Order: sequence, then C-alpha cells, then structure tokens
Amino acid sequence: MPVPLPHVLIVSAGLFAIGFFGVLTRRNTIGILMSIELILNSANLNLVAFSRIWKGTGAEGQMAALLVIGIAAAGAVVGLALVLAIFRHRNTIAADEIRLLKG
Amino acid sequence: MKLALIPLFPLLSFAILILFGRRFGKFAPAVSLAALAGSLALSIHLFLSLLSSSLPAPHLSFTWLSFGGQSLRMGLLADPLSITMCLVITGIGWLIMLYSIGYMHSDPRFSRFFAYLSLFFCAMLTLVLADNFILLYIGWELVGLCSYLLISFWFEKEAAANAGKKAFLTTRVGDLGLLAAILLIAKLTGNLSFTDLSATAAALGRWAPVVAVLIFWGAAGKSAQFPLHVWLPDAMEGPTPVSALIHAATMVAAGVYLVARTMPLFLPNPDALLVVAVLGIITSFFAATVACTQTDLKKVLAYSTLSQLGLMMVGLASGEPFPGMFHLVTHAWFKALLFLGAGSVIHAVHHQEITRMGGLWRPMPVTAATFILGSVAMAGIPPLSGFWSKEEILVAISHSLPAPFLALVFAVSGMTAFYISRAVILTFFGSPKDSHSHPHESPWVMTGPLVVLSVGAVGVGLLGSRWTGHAFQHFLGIQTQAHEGGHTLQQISIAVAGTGILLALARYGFGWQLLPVFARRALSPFYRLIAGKYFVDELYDALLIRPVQTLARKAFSFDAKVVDGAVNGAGSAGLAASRAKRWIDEHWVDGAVNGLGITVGRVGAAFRQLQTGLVQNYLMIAFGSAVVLFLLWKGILR
Repeated sequence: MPVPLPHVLIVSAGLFAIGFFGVLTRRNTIGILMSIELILNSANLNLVAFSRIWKGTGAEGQMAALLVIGIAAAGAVVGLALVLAIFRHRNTIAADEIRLLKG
Repeated sequence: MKLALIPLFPLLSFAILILFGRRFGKFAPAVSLAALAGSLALSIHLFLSLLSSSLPAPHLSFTWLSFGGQSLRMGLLADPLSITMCLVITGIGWLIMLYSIGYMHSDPRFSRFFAYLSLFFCAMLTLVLADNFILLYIGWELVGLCSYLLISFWFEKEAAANAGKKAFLTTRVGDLGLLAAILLIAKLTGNLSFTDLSATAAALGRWAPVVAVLIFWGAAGKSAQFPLHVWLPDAMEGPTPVSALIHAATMVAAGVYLVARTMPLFLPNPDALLVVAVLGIITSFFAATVACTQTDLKKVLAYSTLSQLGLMMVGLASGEPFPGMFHLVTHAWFKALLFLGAGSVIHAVHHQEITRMGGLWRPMPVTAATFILGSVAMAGIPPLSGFWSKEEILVAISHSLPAPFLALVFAVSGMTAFYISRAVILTFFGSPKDSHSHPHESPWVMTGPLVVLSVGAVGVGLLGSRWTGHAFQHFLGIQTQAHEGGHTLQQISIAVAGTGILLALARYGFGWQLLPVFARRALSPFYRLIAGKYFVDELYDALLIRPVQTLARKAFSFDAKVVDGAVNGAGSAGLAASRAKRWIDEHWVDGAVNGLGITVGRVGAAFRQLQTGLVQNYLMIAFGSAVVLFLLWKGILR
C-alpha cells in the first residue's frame, strides 16, 4: 500500500520546520548551512511526492529533485568556501559575531 | 537478510564510533571487534550452508531506483567466490583489529582509528558481496576513501599527508577506467548484473576488448600494477596495521578479485588477457628487483606486495580465475603476518631501517618465529601455503602463456626467496647494531594475532593442495584437471627458492661477497637504477606534475597581467570620467542634494536601528512579515 500524500507532506513540513528553526537559532554558520540542506530536502520530498500523484511520465518531479540535489551540493561548496574565507579573516564562524553590515 | 547484515554490522560500528567514540575511551575497539565478529560469524554460517547444501547461492536483490521507465536493481550475492573473500577479509581483519589495540594504544585519535577501520570493512564487504557493477563501484570508491583516511591518519606528518593524497589521486586515475567500463556496459547492454556476464560479453561485440582492458585499468589502479603502482610504497607512511590490512591483505586484492569476477568478459579476448599478463609480469619482476635493494623493512614488504599482486594478475591472465584467487588467499595470510611482524619489530626498536637492526630473535622470540614462518611461506617452501598457490600459477602459465612468462615467474620466485631471507637475516640474526636501545617483546594482543596468522600462513595452502583432494577448487566449483609436468615445475620451483635463500644466507648471513670486484663495478649503474625504484616517481614528476604546475603558473601570470590589466584600464577610464562628473557635482548638484540628503539622513538614522547586521534577525523579520501577509490575504487581520 502506497504512503498517502498527507503523511509525506507532514513529514516534509516537519523537516522544513526543523531546518527553519535551525537556520534561525544556530550560532555556528556551518550549522546554518546544514539546516538549509534540511529545508532543501523537505522541498525534495514534496517534489517527489507530488510527482507520483501527478499524471505525467513520473519523472518530472524526480528530475526537479535531482536538480535540487545537484544545486544543493554546489550551494554547500560555495557556502563552505565563504565560511572558510570568513574564518580566515575574522577568526570566528559564530553568526552573531559576523555583523559587518550593522548600520 | 542475513546477507545484508554482513556489511551493515561494521557500518553500525562506524556510526557509533565516529559519533560517540571518545566516550568509549580505550573500550572503543570492543565495539568494532564485536561488530566484525558478527560479520565473521555470518560469513562462516553462509560458508557452511554453501558447503552442506546444493541450494543456489543466497541472493538478495531489490529495485533501488525506478526512473523514467528504467529501473536499477541493487543486490548482494554470496557465491563461493564472494564468501571466500568475506572469510579472508573478516578473519584476517579481526586479527589485525585486535593487534591494532596494542599498536595504537597511546594514539590521541584511538577511537577514530577503529571507526575508520569499521568503515573500511563495510566498504570492502559491500565490494565483494555486490551482485552488480554499480554497488561494486560504490564499495570500490569507499575503500579508496578509507585507504586515504588511514594512510594519512597521522596527518601531522607531512609525508603521511602527501602519501594519502598521492594514493587517492593515483587510484582515482584507475577508477576512471573502471567507471568508463561500467558506463560502456550500461550504454551497450543495459545489464550491469554479474549473474550473466558471458551474455554481456557477447552483447558487447567489438567493444568487448575495450571494456575488458578498461576494467583491468581500474584493477591496476587499485591493485597497484605498473604503471599505476607508485602510490603503494608511499602508502607505508600509514600505521602498520593499516599497511597489513588494506595495503597487503584486502583492499589491494580488490583489483585481483574484480578481474576474477569479470573473467567471462576477458575470456573471449586473448588480447585483453595478454595485456593483463604483460603488465602483471612487468610489475612482478620490477618490484621484486626493487625489493632486493630496499633497506626500509616496510618498503621491502611493500615492493614484495607489488610483486605478488603482479604474480596474481599473471595467474589470472592464464584464463582461469582459480590460481590468482588461491594466491590472493594464501598471500593475504602470510603478508598480513609479515606486516604485523614488521609492526611488532618497529614498535620495539622505533625505526624501520633493517641495516640498523640485528639479533632481534633473542629479545622477541615470538615475533621472530612467526615472521620466519611467514617468510618461508612466501618464499615457496613446501608444505607451507605460498608453495601450493605459486605452483598453481606456474602450472596455469605453462599451459596457456608463452615460455618467457614462465622463466620470468621463476626469476621472480628466486628473487622473492632472496629478498625476504635478506630481510629476516638482517633483522633477526647477527649481532645487535644498536647497543643503546633495549627492545622487548610486544604485548599479547599483538603476538596473539601473529601466532594465529602464522597457523594460517602454514596451513591455508593445504586446502588447495592435492593432499586434501583440492578442497578449495571443489568449493569454487572448478574441475581439477590432471597436472601434466607439474612435478618438474615443482622441483624447479623448490630449487629456485632454495637457491635464493642460500644466496641470501651466504651474502648477509656469512658476509661473503658473491660477485668479483670488477663485476660489481660494472653493475653499479644498474644497482643505482633499481635502488632508485627505476625513477618512475621522478619520471611522473617531470612528465605530469611539473608541466601542470608550469601551466598553472602561466595561467596565473596571464590572469595577473592581461585580465587584471584590462580591468585596471577600465578602472582608470572610469576614474577620469568621475573627475569630470565630480566638478559638475560639486557645483550644481550638491546644493540640491544636500537639502534632500539631510532629510534622508534623519529618516535613515531612525531605520538604522533595524539594521543589526545579524543575518538571522533579517530572516526572522522576513518570516514575521510573511506570516502577517498570509494572515492579511486570508482576511484574518482585516
């Protein structure tokens, strides 16, 4: 028996909430990046779930999810490079100590 | 399901140790030892059930991906070949892990070491149990990663960090070949399973030789065959148990296993088999000559491993998977024993130069006795294990390959006996060169595995000998044919090995100079060439590494001069234009703007409080605004 759509959506919403909470509350910038990955994966879950409901060839949603995975990997690379660069300049990666843009 | 647990146990242990390893302190090895013991027990169980029943081999298969009408199946298959590998990996691996407790006991990253070892076992068992190319490739890359992590385990040492990088990059060159082969098979036949490789070979048509050579190219990277052998000697920078486990007994044998597993792809292509034979014999011969000149105990063993792996490849090139696989199994036992014995010696004297050792049999009798047993097994003296597997290879070669191969294998065999006897004599006999140190025998966690391994090094070969009625061959389902000429080959083989041992005894035991002065002088350039490892590293450095670095420097100077020049030019032009604008600005615009500016400045000062510089505050504001907008849209806040 296939898993009903609402169940997947609930899991995905939970995953999103955990990720969003992490982005808002983590002090460690790498933690924020990891939380962003959670949010992206909750979106992937939705894409794959909807792709099974929708009467297409069945591959469109999976394609989008694969694209997201690829872009997420690239994003993680850029993000980690930024964190590394910040660490080299400022010797910290705590999000609340990086406030160069303070007015 | 039992089948899947074999690789999953070590994976679980890896997860536990990498996350909570520090809490376990010195009990961390208990987790990994227990997990591996589980895998070992399951392997033995599967082995016994395969022995006793005629049921087909256990096969676990499921659809992993279903994508646009295509589906990709994953699965584990425990046929006799896989189970043999499983027993070797888990059995020898467990002993080496036990030994590591003693060898690594004061290391600050003690638990991390066992976590990496567990990950390695998971990867290696996945590799040998895989029933298709994709899963095999996943395991293949994972063992490469573990090899990298473990070679550069002491990454504070620059040599270790560099050796890890070199191993990873060199094997990656080989992996590319395997990946290309897998993609070709997927594209041309669409069937990546191992179960019907003969049909795959037929479906490949004229691409079959290309695929076979590409697979061997991958195997050559992992099994350190010429010309991709350069990483293995450097890999000895890692901890000695790692050298024994990964770079002698198991991982480097993965290439041999791969060729044996995909033998149906090679069989219809004599040319591909000839490539395997030629590169195998080149590796074997050159590595044996280099091993005769090295003075670092682990380097001698490393080159000896290269040589024996080459021998296995030559055995496979005869077209029968059995001789190579048999030698793989016996080699795993005696070479693991030799490496662990070397580790025990290094642990006691704190250096690796055999010229500075000597007389060590007195303080370390157990290590010396087991090491000598391992050496004799490798030299090929009956009835120890190396003799039987080497004989199988000799017989197979004499039936299917041209005569020069047989002659070269005999030469390798003689050199093997020579260099290992030389190492034994210089290390354990004679008088101690270093009177300041006081070496002592290693603790029981180290000597225990040595004793068990030496039992294996003596006895495992008998399983494939005619004294037990070729039990191993029967288990692998191979018909044993009458060995014509086997007796002559045996006698020559024993004579050659004996000559090697006697020469080493005369030269290093009694100190006789074997060659007259003029001959030694004439041969000294060759000696320097061999002692310099044929300068392959230097060749790669000159041909590949330095040109790439030069190219990089050229690109950098292009960037600095041309690209930056263009950018700077644009900048200067912009500056000149700006100066002109500035005049207009100061005289015309400023008056109007200043009034506005003051107003804006005041408003800005008020909004400035909002600009905290904390990225998480901004996100919170965005989220709050989104909620408010949503509520407005729904008409709740109207």
